[in-house]
Amino acid sequence: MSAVLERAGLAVEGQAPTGSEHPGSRQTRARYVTLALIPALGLVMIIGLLTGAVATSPRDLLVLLPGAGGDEWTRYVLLEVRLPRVVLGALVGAALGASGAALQGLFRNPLADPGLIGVAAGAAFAAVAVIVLGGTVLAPLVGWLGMAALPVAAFLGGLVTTLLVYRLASHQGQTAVATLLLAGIAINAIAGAGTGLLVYMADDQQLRTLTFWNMGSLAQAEWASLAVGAGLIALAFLVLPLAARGLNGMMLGENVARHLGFSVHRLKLLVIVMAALAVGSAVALSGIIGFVGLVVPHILRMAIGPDHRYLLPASALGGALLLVMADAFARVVVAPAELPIGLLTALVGGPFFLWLLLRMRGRLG
Amino acid sequence: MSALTQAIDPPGDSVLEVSGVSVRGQRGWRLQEASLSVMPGEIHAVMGPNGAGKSTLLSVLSGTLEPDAGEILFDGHPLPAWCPGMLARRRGILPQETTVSFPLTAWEVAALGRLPHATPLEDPEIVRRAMHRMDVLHLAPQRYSDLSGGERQRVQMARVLAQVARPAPDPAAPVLRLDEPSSALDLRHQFELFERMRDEARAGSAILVILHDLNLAGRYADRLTLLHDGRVAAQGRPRDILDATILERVWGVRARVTPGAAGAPLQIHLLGPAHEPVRVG
Repeated sequence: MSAVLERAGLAVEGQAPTGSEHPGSRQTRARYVTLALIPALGLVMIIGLLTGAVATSPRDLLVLLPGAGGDEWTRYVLLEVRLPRVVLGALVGAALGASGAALQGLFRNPLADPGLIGVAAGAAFAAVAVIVLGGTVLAPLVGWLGMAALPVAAFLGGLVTTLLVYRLASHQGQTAVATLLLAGIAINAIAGAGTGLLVYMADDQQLRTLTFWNMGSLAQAEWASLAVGAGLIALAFLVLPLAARGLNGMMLGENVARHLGFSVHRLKLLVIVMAALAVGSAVALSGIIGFVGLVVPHILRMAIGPDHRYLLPASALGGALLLVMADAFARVVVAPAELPIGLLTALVGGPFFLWLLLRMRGRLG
Repeated sequence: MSALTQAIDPPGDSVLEVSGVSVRGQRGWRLQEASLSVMPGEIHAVMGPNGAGKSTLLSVLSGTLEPDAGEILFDGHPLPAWCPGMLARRRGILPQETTVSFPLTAWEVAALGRLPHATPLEDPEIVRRAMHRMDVLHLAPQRYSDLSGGERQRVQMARVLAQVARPAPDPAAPVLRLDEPSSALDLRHQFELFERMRDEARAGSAILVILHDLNLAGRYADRLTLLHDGRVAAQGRPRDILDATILERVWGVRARVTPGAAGAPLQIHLLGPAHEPVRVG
């Protein structure tokens, strides 16, 4: 090995420790933390299944096994009420966590949260438009796409806003933080006004459907819509890892990424479309749930470093874990009523965002 | 150095060939019919006052700027025809400044140089050696953002070395394109950097470096291209072209140049601004 290196132009000085990782590399830790998040998520999902108004014991989980007998009522509660809800929470949390990590890598900024920069608001506007105008103006679209109309519209809404924010905030490969956040404020305001206008036009039945949108909720969970959303989010999860190495290159700036052999243009397109797909589907399923995409990648980056090969899957797992946990909490804290989960994440995420701002104040200019 | 260079590779076998490159700017030409070639085994320095066209030349060389005329051949093939991944494994570029957007350790920054490669087993060893050569291995666990300007520059340099290092013998010469690599370094590390570059060149690399320090150029550059007002003002071995006349014409300074006797390096003493700076063009 050393002879080879010498010929390759690297002088040989001393022997390297073999087998152990060099200090400064966090790859081993990243791998272990990411793997450890899998059983942790499983555990939290079980807790989520056992949490709720109807008392259940871990023994009752056996009814989920195929062919198991057991109490019909318990079976219904677990299989048709709680399981879809836990799965929805995991799916939405994973979508928000992974797309937050990807967008932050692309914008080269830890503040690029899908909620803050207006992507979720754009997706929500499009989704609300389908609900309110689905019977009239948008009837052909709904007729053609069926159940997929809502997530597809949300995806397109998210895509348009992401492209818009990127155009506004990037100049010659640099993203100005202030412009990014200000563009987010403007887009949130515009999309919010549009959504408000649609709500104003909505009839009573539509209004009931819409109320959960603005606060975000997992209460609408049912298998049919979950299947469509899960398909779209799964697609994003399959494609996003292709961007991991490119996003690592982007940590040194757009030009260096190019010199490292990455097509920056293709990378941007990939990340923006896939993040919009994940966020759009998540919004279509559960409304706007803020700050998950901000908090989760940030904490994980502190724990395992910013290597996107690990950060993307870890943020997906961490987002899922956080949202399932938050939802279990939201269901018991004011029982028998429940807190809207978007309220809860904002309550935690808001102060976290302020703390981040405070830390970055010197660099914001 | 030149004798050694010729022993390894006969002249004319350039790996980087810039011919007749012109770039039009908003106010006239930023670069006009510039030509130069870099051969494996040589350190080729590009010098010139501010606005002479150095940055424009670099942008053209890295492919971020399309020239209005002329052509750049990398290993005999036009630059745009190269596959980006293959080019990245052969060509390391050190920009003047690199901003790192997330809290990476020095090790992680240097290891990013291995991104274009698929050799995970050799990689830690290559990164370790590259960092050792730039005297930054002891900084590996530290946050890049906590390092001093000079330390960061050396870490970036290690990243570039790691990028073009090859685990297996490879006849294809790597090309390094360095933009003021010693601007933030203290005196000892300036010399050390260029000693390492000389090792790299001896091992077959072709190195194009933008420099401001005349004495470093006089000591380490095998060949020199002086840019002035977008044109090549002089080209050749430092001892052949660096004299008081050209220093006054290109930079507008008075200087005393002492040619080193028998292999000793050129000594350039800057005396001050010329009384009547001559502006060409």
